[in-house]
Amino acid sequence: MNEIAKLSSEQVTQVAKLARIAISDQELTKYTEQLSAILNYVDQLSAIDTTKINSVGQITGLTNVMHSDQAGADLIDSKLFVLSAPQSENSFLKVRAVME
Amino acid sequence: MIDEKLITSWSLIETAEQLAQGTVSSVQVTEAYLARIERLNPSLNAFLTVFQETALDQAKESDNRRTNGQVLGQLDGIPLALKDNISTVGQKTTAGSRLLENYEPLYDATVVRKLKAAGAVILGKTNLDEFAMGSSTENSAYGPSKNPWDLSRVPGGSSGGSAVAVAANLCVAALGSDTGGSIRQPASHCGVVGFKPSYGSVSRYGLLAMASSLDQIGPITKTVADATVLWSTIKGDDSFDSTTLPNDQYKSSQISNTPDGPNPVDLKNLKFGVPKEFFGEGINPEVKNLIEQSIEKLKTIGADIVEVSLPLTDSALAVYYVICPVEVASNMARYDGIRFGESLARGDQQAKLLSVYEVTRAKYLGEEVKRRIMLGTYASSAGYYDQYYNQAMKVRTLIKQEYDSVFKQVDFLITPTSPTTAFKLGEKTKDPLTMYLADVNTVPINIAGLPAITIPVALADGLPVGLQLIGQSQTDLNLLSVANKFNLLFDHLDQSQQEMNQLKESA
Repeated sequence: MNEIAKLSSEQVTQVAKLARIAISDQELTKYTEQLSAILNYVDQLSAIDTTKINSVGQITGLTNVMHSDQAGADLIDSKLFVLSAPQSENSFLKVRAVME
Repeated sequence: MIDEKLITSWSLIETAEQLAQGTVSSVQVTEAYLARIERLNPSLNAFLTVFQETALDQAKESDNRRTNGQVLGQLDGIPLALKDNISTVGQKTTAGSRLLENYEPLYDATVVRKLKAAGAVILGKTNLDEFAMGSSTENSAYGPSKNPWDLSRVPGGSSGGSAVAVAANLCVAALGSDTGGSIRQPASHCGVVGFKPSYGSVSRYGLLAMASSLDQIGPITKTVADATVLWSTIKGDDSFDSTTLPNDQYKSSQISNTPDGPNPVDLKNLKFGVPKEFFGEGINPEVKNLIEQSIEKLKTIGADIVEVSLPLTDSALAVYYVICPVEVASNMARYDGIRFGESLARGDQQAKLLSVYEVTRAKYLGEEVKRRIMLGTYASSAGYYDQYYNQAMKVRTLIKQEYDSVFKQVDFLITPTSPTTAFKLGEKTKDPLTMYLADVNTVPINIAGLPAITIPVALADGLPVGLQLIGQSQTDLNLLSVANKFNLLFDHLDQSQQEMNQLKESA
């Protein structure tokens, strides 16, 4: 079988960064342990021979479902959309500076 | 004056008949359910939000239509509950999360639009594990729901609130969603019917997405006949969801749903398989015994039942816990505190962009959600994508092929819905993996996109046991017909239902 997948706390710190979730030191320890255990469990999949098998994103068999590019009626009230955002100004959503 | 207890004990079809006969009005039925919710919801926590006013308005409109001879159909005036991850325009949709505590969608989900067009009354939104991630409703940010059969036990999840609402007669019927068993498992634990349609059967537009290749909305009901009515109304292709199947692709029902309809169900023409891998080592011996007894009972009415094997069953749970977190990580990225929902940005004017993202998500999302996001982020990241996600998708193909092969031997599969009955609150919360294993009998069905239904068949130490019937993809009509026949056979839970009702009255 395969060696036990064990995440390092550096890896989990990096993953949390990618996932845009702030975690405390206590959480780091806890998640490192839990994620390692789950990855260890799912590692059983690597023993299955899939050499000639296609991966499939969903099983309906549907591909490239198209519709004509025609504008229809507004489905959402844009004023309400802007108002329900955490921060907005006039008809714009406001975000913090993306670049320094 | 008809008894409130009687009114709320009716099935959907019975309620529709009583409305048609004029025995009751929709307002009376709705008031009966609202009164019962007010009395019992505090101890059951099935509903997160009750739409007191709009429900009565909808009921009044229904009664007016009926007076004017303009009844819209069987669902006109029928009070329903919706799992709180289904968008209802202008009405709170929380997904069981603090992040959406005050969120009111700007649009109705397609299924909601269809129910409203059919004249249904929407009573309110039911509790769920946060963002549908969980098997017990204990991950809800608003407290767990309680199993009406034993208030110290979970109702199952993630559609726990909907299952409780139906089981405790707090609504005529409900909608839930199922990604790895979230309709079927709680329905089984609460002694009601739960149907997960074929993937692509019901539009996911407006369902707060969890795992887009696995999610399906479906009915939780008192009877299979009720589930058929609800599913018929909500199904169909939808230009807002390009994974919905074209309507003419369904295998048309060869079997009628009623005893005197064309081609009534004759079990002698059908073959049923019992996959031995669904009776694995984790199964409760009493559950195993009762399911086997139920299968024997089916044989006495002519069912041809054989043992089959699905060797990849054990791997299906591992496939699920790769594919699901990866898709979750992708779908949860939208909760970034920028466009909607709670956010650090609402209160803190100094915080920089990265903090808005990181702290909003840390503060307002629960543990299980964060765990799955991180797991999925890792399993799809550069260097690990092939080993985990790509491999899981390939094994999914193999699992689908395995089901295709078995459905050449048999028409339907019969399994226990869950390896156990409802567990105690707090019993499985310490270790995530222990909770994940609760779904071992339901998850493979989502991986293969098949339709499956659970029907209550027995009680083990006073707790409901469900039997799962599985069909090949797009055989939903035939599956429901056969399940209906089974459902009529196992109706002895009714009496216990009465005892359960008495238990709840004193709660």
